[in-house]
Amino acid sequence: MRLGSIVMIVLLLVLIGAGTVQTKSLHISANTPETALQSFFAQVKAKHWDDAFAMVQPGSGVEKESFIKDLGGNNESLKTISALQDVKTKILRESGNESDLRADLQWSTAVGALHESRDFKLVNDEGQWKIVWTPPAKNDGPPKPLPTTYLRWDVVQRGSSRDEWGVQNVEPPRMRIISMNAIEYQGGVTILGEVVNEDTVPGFVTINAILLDKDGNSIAEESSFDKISHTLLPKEISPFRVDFANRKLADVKSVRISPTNILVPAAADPVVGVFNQRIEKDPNGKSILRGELVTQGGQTVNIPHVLATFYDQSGKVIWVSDGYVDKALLPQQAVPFAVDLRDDLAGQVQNYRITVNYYNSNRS
Amino acid sequence: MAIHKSSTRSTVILLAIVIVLASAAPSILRAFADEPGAGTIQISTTGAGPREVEETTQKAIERQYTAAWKNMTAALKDNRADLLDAAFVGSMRDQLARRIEQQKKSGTSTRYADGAHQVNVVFYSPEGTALELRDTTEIEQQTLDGSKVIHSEKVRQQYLVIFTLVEDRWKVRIMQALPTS
Amino acid sequence: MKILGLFLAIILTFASAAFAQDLQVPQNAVAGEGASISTSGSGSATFYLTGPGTSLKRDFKRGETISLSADDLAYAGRYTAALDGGGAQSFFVTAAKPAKLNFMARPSRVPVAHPDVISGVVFVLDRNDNLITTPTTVNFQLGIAGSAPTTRPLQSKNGIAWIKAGSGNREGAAQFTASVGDISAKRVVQQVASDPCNLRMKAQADGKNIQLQTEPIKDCSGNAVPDGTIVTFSESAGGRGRSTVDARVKHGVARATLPSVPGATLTVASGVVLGNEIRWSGGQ
Repeated sequence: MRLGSIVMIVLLLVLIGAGTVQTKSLHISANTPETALQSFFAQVKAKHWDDAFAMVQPGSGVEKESFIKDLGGNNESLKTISALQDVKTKILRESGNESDLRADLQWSTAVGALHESRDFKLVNDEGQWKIVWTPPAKNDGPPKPLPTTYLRWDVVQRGSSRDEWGVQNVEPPRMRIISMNAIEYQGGVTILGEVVNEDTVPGFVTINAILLDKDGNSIAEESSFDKISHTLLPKEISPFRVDFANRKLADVKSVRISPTNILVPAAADPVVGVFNQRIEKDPNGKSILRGELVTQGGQTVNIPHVLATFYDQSGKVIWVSDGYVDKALLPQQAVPFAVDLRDDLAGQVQNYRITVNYYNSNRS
Repeated sequence: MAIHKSSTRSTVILLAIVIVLASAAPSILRAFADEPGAGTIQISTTGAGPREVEETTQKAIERQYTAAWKNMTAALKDNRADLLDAAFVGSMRDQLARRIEQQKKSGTSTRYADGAHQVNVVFYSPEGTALELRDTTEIEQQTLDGSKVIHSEKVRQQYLVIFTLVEDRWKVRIMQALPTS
Repeated sequence: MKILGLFLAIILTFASAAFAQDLQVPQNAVAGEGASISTSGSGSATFYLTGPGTSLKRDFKRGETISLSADDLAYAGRYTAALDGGGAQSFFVTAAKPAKLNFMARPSRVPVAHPDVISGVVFVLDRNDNLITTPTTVNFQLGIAGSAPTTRPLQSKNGIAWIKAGSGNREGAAQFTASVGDISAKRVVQQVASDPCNLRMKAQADGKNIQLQTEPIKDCSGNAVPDGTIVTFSESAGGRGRSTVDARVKHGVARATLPSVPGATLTVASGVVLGNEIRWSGGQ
């Protein structure tokens, strides 16, 4: 009898607790469209997908699974390893029971902050503002794997570690810097240029730059980090950008550039097409280079990385920018991308070239 | 046992001289070491070929050859093979290590004091991974058994030295004393 | 101090000269071959030998001959024999006959039809890795299967012989050999196709797309460029945007699919080499 009372009390406490939590999640503050959207992203930030989905207006084509994939990512894309950091909302239009809002989202990722701007429609449903979710555009038919039989290079290393003077070893591939330009930008010095793999084997290249003063002394040393496509196949060209913060071009007499290149195993797949490239203004009036990425083979690309090289009228490289795409590329499915272009250079850009670098979970 | 008188006398005199010299040896070595230019290495690249010696390579060789002499001197004096790896590689490293091993076994050591080096690069390989130089220097060499100086001599010596690039660092691979013509 | 040093050095030289008579060192010692040192006098003494790779200490009886093994004199250079009672003599050991060729052939890959791109450097060594400084004739031979090799004899200087040669017109594994007498060292230099030459493509309508394909891509000597080489197809339609595909050469040709945009200009390039241009009419 006494045990039964204790069980009843514990059960009652659990039910009260559960009821409180449930009430809290359902009665989120949604008095205005803006607070509703903020609350929605608070749930997304905490990855409380059920609570976030509860704020979505039910309708045709709205499925929880695709909703979670849309916001949380899938196929080992960059989104799957990102965390929502900050949300800024803005009302675009408001009329009675409907509102259009813009959310500027900042995601923190392993490769730096990722910005996303999304527009939402909210409707007032019996006193609660609900989000009208637009499901992501579906591609024609389900993705199907396509076999590819592209070339792959492997490097067979010598097993012995003893000194082998004069023994022939395979050299690293021949890389050549085909253009270079030093500019001043945002209180620093930036070195821009392009490097080509002139060899018949793939190589991994890093550009190291040293700024020298008038006496030939080193002022600063930096490398291209991720502003380059490191793995270059034969005859492949990559832009590079090396940033030196808090430096003045007037203090620099010369720049010593030294590419470090090694022979690496690589595969010739996947081939990524870059379609519908165009420079346009985003809703905030910033110049953006947009396009769509499509893999032409049968391989999924988990994290695409877009590098854009901008040229002036004389063909000189005047800027290099890059951007990561938070969605994975499935075979033959187009994924949009956008890369910033400096507004002060937009008028000077006569030509541009896009290269796609990628990181795959199974890439060796 | 028959011993000639004159031979005994000369032996005693010479032994006395040797003892005096042995006690004065550190001072002599210091005196040589104090000479301007002792141990300094300046490399001329005039006439080097087929590849032109880059300024950075010349500086690196100067630095590494100075280090090679310093390390070799310390290693043979203190019988420490571990000092060799920074500047020597291949058969030259093995050669010095073997000598140190034998010195350790017999309780001997060698002291070197090198004078100024006149160094000319005579060959720099087309692909830039091997370099040969000819060095003319005066060296003071002492052989010691424990702390006793067995022999001391000062010679003018010419060396052929081959440097090779090992993991981005120039190291001495061959250092061969040449017969004086 | 310097004067004292000089004085003592002079005395030491005379003293050594007096004792040097006790030792008869070899005059023509060869590395890796045994030798002997004869001594004079009587009584026991300690013998020291220092030289490259060697530091010997032996008790012996004056008047006996001291035998030095091949291992004691393995390395070429200057050796000093000394006795503990005083007396020392120096001698040189020269390198033995050629036994090893250290052959550095560069590069391992080279584009065809380029002058002076292959280099070979030979270090002539004896079996103990001593540099043979006496001039030695080194024969260099470079050739690819199916064609006569070129041979050049060159004299070594300070132990080194070197050569520079151009690559041939045909791709393939070139055999690069250096030899001295019956000793030889062989290396392989892979001659690979050079930059594409006369890069040309053709376009064909395929529904909403264009199928682009190059003609077999070859260098100016007629060698096929290797598979995996990047070929960039571009389609520029002015204000209507552009599209690009970095395709890979497969079985000698490169292919890509681009959206069909009537009026667009299609171009092809590989590395810094540009190919032909097509004005796309829409496949009509």
